[in-house]
Amino acid sequence: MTNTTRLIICERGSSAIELAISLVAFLGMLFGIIKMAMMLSTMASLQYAAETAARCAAVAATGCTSASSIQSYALNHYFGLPLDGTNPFVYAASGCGNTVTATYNYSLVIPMIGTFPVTLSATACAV
Amino acid sequence: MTRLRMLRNHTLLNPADRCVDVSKIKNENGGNVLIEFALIAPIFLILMMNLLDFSRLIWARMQVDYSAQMGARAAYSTCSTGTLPAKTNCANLTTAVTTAAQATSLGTAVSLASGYPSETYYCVNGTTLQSVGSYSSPPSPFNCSAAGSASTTPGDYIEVDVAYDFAPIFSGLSLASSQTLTGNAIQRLN
Repeated sequence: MTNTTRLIICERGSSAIELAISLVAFLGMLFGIIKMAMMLSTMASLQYAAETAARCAAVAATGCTSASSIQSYALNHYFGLPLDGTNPFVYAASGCGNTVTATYNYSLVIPMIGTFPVTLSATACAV
Repeated sequence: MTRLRMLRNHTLLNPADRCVDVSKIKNENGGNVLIEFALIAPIFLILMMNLLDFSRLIWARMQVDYSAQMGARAAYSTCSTGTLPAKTNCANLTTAVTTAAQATSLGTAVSLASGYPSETYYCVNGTTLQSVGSYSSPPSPFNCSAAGSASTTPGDYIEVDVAYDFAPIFSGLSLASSQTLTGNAIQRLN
């Protein structure tokens, strides 16, 4: 009996192989969940920072008197994933009064399913 | 036991070449792990879908609340000085409230409930707020005698109700069904 035939016929260790296959799928899901959670937390953080900065602009607090200071105030209240060096927050004296918006390009990687570019955005306005 | 397995383990092969002992066939568990995973995976996936939709639902609820608060706050900054009652004397009230309520991340999908913003006079009675009249029929004389304190001026409160239609991504699979979320905020103007 050749080794090849043995390999085909032999069932010893099959559980381990199946576990290996299942484990890859399982871990894929797990890391997918982790990536999704990171996305949601960044989304929440963007929203929080935008709301806080809009509020700061609305009450014209010290440190929130110019567009650039409001934008850096927002950045200081952001606690999500690292940024690429640019400030994602933009202030405009429009909308209801003081609008702060933010966009963040997130790459949602779900192992074995694919990579999905997601643009996270947050808008807040206070007056 | 399948025919194939019987063939493999029983008839053709020399016992010395068989790697699966015939006596162990009863305990054979090849394929179990895969089958178990196949059974669990859909449950797991549905759980994930629910997780995502519930997260979005909670997110939307927070945004709707925030939207109502910002609407009420806009009423205060637009109409609080010298233009009360706001419903009759502040021309920009509804516009200001609507603009602010629609300036959250949910955008214009948020709508102002019909009849809102509403304006009511309240007085403190003990530890609760007691309604003493609406903007169109203010208490006369204009004081809190109805609440037992004639020396107090009634508070002018604006109330903002907003609504947002939530739709789940995985409709039918997730427990977070399509529903209308409402937000409410009350702000004193005077």
